Amino acid sequence: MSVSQQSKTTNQTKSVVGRPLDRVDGRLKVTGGARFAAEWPLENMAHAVLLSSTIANGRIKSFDTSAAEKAPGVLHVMTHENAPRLKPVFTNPAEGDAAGRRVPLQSPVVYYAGQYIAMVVAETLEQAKHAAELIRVTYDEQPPAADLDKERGKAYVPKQKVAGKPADSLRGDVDAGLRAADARVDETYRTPTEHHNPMEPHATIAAWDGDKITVYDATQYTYGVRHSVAMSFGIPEENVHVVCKFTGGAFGCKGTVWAHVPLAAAAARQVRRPVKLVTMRQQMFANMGHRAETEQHVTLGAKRDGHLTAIIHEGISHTSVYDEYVEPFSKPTHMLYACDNFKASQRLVALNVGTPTFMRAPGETSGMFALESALDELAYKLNLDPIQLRLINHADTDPDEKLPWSTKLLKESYRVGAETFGWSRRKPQPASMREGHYLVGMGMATAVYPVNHFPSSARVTIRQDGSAVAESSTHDLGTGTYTILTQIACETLGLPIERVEVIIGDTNLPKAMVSGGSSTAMSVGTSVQGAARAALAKLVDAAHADQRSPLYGASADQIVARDGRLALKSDTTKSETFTDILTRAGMKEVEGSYDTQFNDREKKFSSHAFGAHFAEVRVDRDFGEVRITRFAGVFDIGRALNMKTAESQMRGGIIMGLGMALMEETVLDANLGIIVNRDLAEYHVPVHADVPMIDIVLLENFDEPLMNELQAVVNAYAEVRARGGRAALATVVSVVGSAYRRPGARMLVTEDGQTVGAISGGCLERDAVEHARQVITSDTACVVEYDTRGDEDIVWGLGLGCNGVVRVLLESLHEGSGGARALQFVADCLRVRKSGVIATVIDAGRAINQERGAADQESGADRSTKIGARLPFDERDDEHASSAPGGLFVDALSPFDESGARIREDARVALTSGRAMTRVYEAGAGRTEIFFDVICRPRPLVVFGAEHDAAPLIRLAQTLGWHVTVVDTRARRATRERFASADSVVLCRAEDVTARFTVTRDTVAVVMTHSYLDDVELLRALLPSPACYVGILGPKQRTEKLLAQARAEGSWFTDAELARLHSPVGIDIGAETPEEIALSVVAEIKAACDGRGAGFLRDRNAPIHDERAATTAPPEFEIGAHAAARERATSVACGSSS
Amino acid sequence: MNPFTYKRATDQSGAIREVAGNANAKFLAGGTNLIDLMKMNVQQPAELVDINRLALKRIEKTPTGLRIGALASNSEVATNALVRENFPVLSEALLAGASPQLRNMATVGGNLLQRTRCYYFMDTAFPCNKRVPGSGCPAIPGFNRIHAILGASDKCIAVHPSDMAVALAALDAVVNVEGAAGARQIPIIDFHRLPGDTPHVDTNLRADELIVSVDLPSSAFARRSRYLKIRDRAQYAFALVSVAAALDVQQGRIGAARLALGGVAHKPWRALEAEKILTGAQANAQTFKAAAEAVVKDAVPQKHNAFKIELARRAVVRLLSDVAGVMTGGAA
Repeated sequence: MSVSQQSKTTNQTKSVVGRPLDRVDGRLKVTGGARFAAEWPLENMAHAVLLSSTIANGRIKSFDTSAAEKAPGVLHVMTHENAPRLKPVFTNPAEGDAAGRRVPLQSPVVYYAGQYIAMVVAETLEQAKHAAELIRVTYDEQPPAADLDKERGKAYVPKQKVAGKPADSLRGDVDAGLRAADARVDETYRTPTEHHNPMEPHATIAAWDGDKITVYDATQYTYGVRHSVAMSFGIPEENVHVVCKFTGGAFGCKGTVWAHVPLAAAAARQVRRPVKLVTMRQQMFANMGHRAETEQHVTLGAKRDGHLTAIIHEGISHTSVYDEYVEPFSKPTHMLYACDNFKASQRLVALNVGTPTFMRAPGETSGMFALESALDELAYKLNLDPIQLRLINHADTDPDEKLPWSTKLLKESYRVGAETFGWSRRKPQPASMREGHYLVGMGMATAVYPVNHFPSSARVTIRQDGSAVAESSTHDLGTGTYTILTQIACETLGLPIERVEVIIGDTNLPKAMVSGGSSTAMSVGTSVQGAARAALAKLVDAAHADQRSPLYGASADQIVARDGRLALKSDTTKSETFTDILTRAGMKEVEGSYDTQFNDREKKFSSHAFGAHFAEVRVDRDFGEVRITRFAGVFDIGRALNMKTAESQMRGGIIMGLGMALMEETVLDANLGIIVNRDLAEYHVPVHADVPMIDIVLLENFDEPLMNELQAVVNAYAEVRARGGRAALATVVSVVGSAYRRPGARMLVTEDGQTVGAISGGCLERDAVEHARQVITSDTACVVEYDTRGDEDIVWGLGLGCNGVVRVLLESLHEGSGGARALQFVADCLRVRKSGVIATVIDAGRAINQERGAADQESGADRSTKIGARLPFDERDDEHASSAPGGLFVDALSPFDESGARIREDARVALTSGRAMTRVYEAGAGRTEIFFDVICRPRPLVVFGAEHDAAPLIRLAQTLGWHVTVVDTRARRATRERFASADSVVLCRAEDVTARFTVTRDTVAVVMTHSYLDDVELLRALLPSPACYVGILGPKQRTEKLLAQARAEGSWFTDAELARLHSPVGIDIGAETPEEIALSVVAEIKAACDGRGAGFLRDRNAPIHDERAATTAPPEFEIGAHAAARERATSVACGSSS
Repeated sequence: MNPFTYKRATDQSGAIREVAGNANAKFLAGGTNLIDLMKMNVQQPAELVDINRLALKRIEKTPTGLRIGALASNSEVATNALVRENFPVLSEALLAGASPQLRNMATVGGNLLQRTRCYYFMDTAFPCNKRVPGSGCPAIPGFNRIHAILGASDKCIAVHPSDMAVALAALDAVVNVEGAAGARQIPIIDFHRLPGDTPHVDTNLRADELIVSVDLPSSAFARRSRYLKIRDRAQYAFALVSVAAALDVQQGRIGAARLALGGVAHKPWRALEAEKILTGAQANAQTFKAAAEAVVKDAVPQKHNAFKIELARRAVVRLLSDVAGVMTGGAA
């Protein structure tokens, strides 16, 4: 994430990307308005029907097409005897003859049953179908190779690589590994042939206009269709226009251009009319590829402690007799687990079937089934928990590529999955869990999929009417491409959803590659973002150059796009609409393009998505019927662009996996080589009744703190450092009079002027950025004073009602500088949520310099001041200073021993009072001014329960700056989406609360699970904890019942513990609605923690504000007390920062 | 798909005359099976006589039980209160079949006449004695996991796919038909045929005969009847094995018993020998196991369906135990 994006997420809480937006094309889909390939209503359209071979191996001896040709409505009958010569299409340079054999209707050879052998074109579909049935064919039939078992002797080494790896791969020494093993697993696994079966059949409409052709096709790859049709007919690619607005499911089978596409084009050319060709479901089983059958052998060797000493994954899969496709089942085994000794080997067996192809997660699906099953066998042999075994063999780096992972939250996936699913309830002994007639089993498996991306292009146009259009030739397979591209364009352009149109699926648009391998969101999404930025830049240029624009002279980095307007980042009241900018500039629109390229040759990381699946399965012990009763999937997939479509993808993948594991199987008649179950009645996919509740947890959503400004500044600096950039830190150190921000407000400024955080309401930033860039260049620190009183108000153009003097410390950041150390300290405080104080020198008189030692003279720098020097104190150790290595600050004050003690004392005062302040220390001729900045530990509120009534409480607490954690035992409810404002969302079973949380003296706990049993567990855990406040929702009688139950379960509570219990929770304000209840609860917590009675203030006989603050922080040390006397100079002190 | 003519019948006798006059004519009711078979060129009627407008939808009480019109939809019958109370096995069997959309279209008469789902029958690329008499049966040497274990012949091992008909077999249903030669009643057990040498003839219904209704006689055992269906997925799959059982149990003794199986034969398989063992016997695990043994005594497995024999045995024991309310601790 770049700095500019970070500032955006900080400032714009309503980020469009990531939201669970409904599909923008949803209405079109359910009202029939979404036009699929077969639905284009062309004039004068003819219909083509393909005739399939009824034998699996042999030659066509003869055709009798006479009856068909005479049948009503028939326009043309095409066989290999009269078909036009189509040119072979090479999809890779090495395939040679195979490419030729793929061309349909070119020879009498039959390679597989169902192969197209003739085509009839007629006026209507019914006429074409009838005529096709009238064609008589005589064959010279040969026995087919249709049985993997019978043909295994002819297995051969694939000519092509297996998912980019040699067919035989070796790492280390597997024989030695097996010899060193204490336990060994040797298992054979078989997976059947499976078919994609998208809802929408393959369909093509072809319409020629001279030597140009338009092809409407159901595809995952419009440009691929264009290339293929151009090659088949020997015409330039520009002559082929391919359109595919919606694809009704694909799963890989529409990534390849199959024979019906050139045949539809050939038919259209023949009859000189547009031709529609829709394949039948039965034909899809033979002609559009499939997942090949595999037989895999997995050998594992392991030490007694579970460490793998060897992995061997070998086996066979089938291909066709005329072409080669390898189902790469060994692919994930190369990289999934840490093991020095690894061997993979794959062989192919040619059968009389259509060529297999990639089908949803090719390789992973079949291969992980074998590998993970073998791991479970090993876990059982070693008496280890399956998760434990996987943790033991966790690969901390990619063992194959020898690269670090880009991200890998696999361990977290296991942990969260186990908690979500209730893995601890599993009993590993076979048949030990029973329910009625059922044996109940629980299992888990690792999930992995590589991050794929392809070069792609997009174009974004901002129109004069204030709308925009994003265009790319990419596809929506039902996955939600339209929706996520809309979100990306909206977020980048600052436009509402309804003002952005996404146009895809057309080769007249910028090129995108195949929508396969989960690559589209990343590849095309990046292009759309880039194109949107490019278009915005042109809009900015137009505004920049126009003296009439309020943005005149502003550079792109100073401008933000929001709500259809461009505005100055530093002062968003200076803005104008896209429409105004374009209208005045006399432009109808501005257009930006972006080509995304990925440099994979210099990759420094191995990138994969990881996850863990958990299933509860019931098997009828008499009948063997297997039903899945519960499922949980936890995934680390990076950033989800749309929660809804992302979860839907996960859920769909799980359902498809469930089908493949339990019921999907394409059966070939072993004698005749014909697929027997070639329709959806007999090829079983899961129906609703087969699908259990599926819990999806996306880890990007898990435990991720919502960034506050301070955290954003810290993160932004970490990122600047990571990429070797430079930055300055601006900190408000004193305020006299009124000002928008209080002392301690911070802003990070990068060398290119990007900002994160703020030091004012927008009025001081621009100037501060200029100063900041100067201090970066000179690597110095200085304090700048802004006086907004009186006339100077005009100078700064505030008009915000501020009337004061603000001093801002600006310092260049680099390793070891005071500012960097301060940010590091802030980061530490935030991470462990502790309070702290940072003492900062903001002015130092000459007297100090005279006392300085030799070190400064060596550096030759002007050390007249030590501005920016820091001394941090934290709450548990105010002696932090003494342990700080080579503390600059200690150096600076070394002559003043007694000052050091006073400074510590003042720091303690600031810490206790929780208020920032400045103080001046004088010793001899020296004078040092120090700013004490307090990092307050936010009040930690833990809300147990994630029902709807938790939301207002969380929001209100968040407004008060409390640190809110939502804890729920039900994964489906506690999502980041529902509790966007919470600092963290945690899934945790009630009985595990004390194990999962550190409850401290200031922890405030509110229990509102609405679950009796959970509440009992929580009371048992929380009352004896150090929490200062435990509130529980519900009437008193219920709580008494809970306590009785807790006591019955062995708990015993002291009076002090019971005194912390507030039940019913809240103060008596007559609260009814969840919002009112939240108010009542928050008020009670505040009062209870501050020792106040929560009555009416008018009844109070003491000052409203606590005297404690006044005594611990005397007024003379309050913020800005010294600054009030300062002159109105702008820049008061400058010096080297270290 | 062959060209055909379509006529909509307005009265029953007209419909029967129309079909009687054309050897290639067929009645069209819900069309959920016939239309599919026509699209796949498995059946090629030259004429369809649409009977959906005929008044054959009523479900009514009779002095001896219930009469269900042939055009009553599977959904209507399954949810009918009289059916659910007096013939629960019929409701359960219907709901175990197809999908809600199909059940809304499919009729009682059509359900009885549905064709086998044998893969080899359904695909014209294969030879098939049922589709093209004398062309051979590739299922016997081929993939026969879903095929018959009882009553098959060397010409055909297909099974009848209906769930409803299995329930009717256990309820002593009578099929009322009308043809050019007049009306007659066919007991359900005689309605469907075994394949023998003529597997292309599924039923004893004559070509010009129309099913007009099905009679269900009331009985104590019918009120205590259940259906059990074992299949590859939870819904929308044909039975691997199904069982319909009806018992009249008094003080632990079985007064009357009816037992029929689906997914095992060319017709709904009424297990008469097993019924004899059950009748008068104590309702206990031993009795049920003996009955189950009798059911599969003459079973002949094919290459891929031997599992059905043991499955049928266990399914019979499970269902009889459930109906009798006896815990057997499993059949295994």
